[in-house]
Amino acid sequence: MAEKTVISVNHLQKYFTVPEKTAGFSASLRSLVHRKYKTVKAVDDVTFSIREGEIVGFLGPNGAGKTTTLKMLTGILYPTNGTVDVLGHIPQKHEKVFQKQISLVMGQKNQLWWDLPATDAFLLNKEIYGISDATYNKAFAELTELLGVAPVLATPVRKLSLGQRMKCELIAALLHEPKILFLDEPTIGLDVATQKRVREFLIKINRERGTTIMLTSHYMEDVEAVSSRVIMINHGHKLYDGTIAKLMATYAKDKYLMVEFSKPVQSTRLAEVGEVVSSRETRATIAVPRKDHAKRAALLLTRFPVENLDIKEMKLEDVILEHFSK
Amino acid sequence: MKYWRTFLLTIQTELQYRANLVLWIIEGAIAPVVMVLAWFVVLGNRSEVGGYTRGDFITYYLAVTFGWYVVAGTFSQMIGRAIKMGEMNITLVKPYNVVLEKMVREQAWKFISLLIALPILAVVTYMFRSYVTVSLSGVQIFMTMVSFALGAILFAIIEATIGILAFWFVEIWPIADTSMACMNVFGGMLAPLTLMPIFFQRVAAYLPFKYVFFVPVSMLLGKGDNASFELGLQVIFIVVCFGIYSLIWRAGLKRYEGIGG
Repeated sequence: MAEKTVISVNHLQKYFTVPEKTAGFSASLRSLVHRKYKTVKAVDDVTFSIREGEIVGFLGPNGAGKTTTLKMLTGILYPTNGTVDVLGHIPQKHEKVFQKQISLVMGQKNQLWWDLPATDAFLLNKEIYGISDATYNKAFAELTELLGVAPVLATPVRKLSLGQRMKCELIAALLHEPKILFLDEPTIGLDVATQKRVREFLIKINRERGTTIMLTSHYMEDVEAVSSRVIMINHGHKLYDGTIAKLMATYAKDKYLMVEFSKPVQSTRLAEVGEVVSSRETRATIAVPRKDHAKRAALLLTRFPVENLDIKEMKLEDVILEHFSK
Repeated sequence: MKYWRTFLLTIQTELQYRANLVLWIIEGAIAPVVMVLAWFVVLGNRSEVGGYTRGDFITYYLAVTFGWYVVAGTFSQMIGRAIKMGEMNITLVKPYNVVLEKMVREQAWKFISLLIALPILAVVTYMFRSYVTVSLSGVQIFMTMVSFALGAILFAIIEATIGILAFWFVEIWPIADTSMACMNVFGGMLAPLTLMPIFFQRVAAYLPFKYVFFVPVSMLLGKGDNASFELGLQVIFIVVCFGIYSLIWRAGLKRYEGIGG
């Protein structure tokens, strides 16, 4: 994979000034004369860089600053402080040559025309990005087949399901073959099967076109499935930047012993093996330290009537909940 | 081509809502009809008021109504909404001007309305054919068309400027309403400016509104004093207003909050 840096963010800050008002009629009258404001630090001193061809998951709870960062990377918002460089351009200059190399898909803001079939919006994008007929026809055929939307292309967008709409949004965003694809919650509200298809599609696009992808998501499955690297932010600060494997090795101190007994076992007795996460008659889940999980498993096997034993890693979601969501 | 495609797509969309089109035309036709009738009452037995005959009044309001479809695209609220609701986010990352997009979409909608209104205008013109008198030379017709085009550009810049004030005010409908009131009074939509009190006429000379409707319509009626001078003033107002718009746009983008995900 090439090592060229395509996104470079240095000490990025975005502060918003928001009016403050307590509840009640008199407070409303007071705010009419004397309005109070407070500063919200949506993004506060975030630095990172992304190389060409990477898929990076941008994680964090609601209000962490993920979408705000994405908006600064695409030129929608101006930073309060700090610098952003994407493909050698400052996004806030809104240069056409830059805009033709990126694309943004937002889960809750769409570019399709509500009353018309998605194909009409695709043709508009063809004009907007100046895509040649040959490139358009090739990309259109490839993308519609990959996402399986051919049967709904003549249907007005308002009649499409959420999943079908998101697939069409992805096609609209990729027709001009952008070098970088920014995705903000692309699988929000989608059913499990569609989520899976979208994830597979993103991986394929990344592999075949070398498209750099940066996505924010609430679904850990999204991030685990498509990206090897995650950047985690909360309260506007970067908390972690690295591979998922390293994250797990650093923070996933435990492993889970998922055990099935031949007869019921009291959960209090299992405490000598590790921390009992759940226990119900003949089944139990016990968290044990990663470094001596083998010993603990052996202990379990020798002292209890074990019928079946599985050893599982902590989920990324659990690690994040435990270490980063406070 | 991209704005032409937007124009076509908007027409495709609007054709799905036929009832809206008809109602909008009825709404647009009420004011000029009432104004013509009011001036007929004022005229009484007199042949003219302030140099305007019955025929002039009919032609004036026909021209204002026609001009409204051609010249005026009220898209400030569309821009205001795009800023307020963050709908501009997707457009801002594309090589595509969001203000031009809204203008084209409004004009497309107006174009459809005009197509439906044209037969009505033709019938009204036919009914009052003995009153309607337009006798212009080739040069005058050309200058009138240029003046209408300049009026349309000026109107679009005013609308765009009001729309992007949403970067500061969030809700811009009071400003849009005020602008429309000014367009009525100082722009000659309500009544020919030359029939207004002299104070209004003096103020109007320094505001852009007069150069949107009144100047081209006066040329159409052959009442323009110095057509070249008026065209020059239209150009000056376009340049000044566009300069103001550009400054506000650049400052506004820095304030944009891009609401929503």
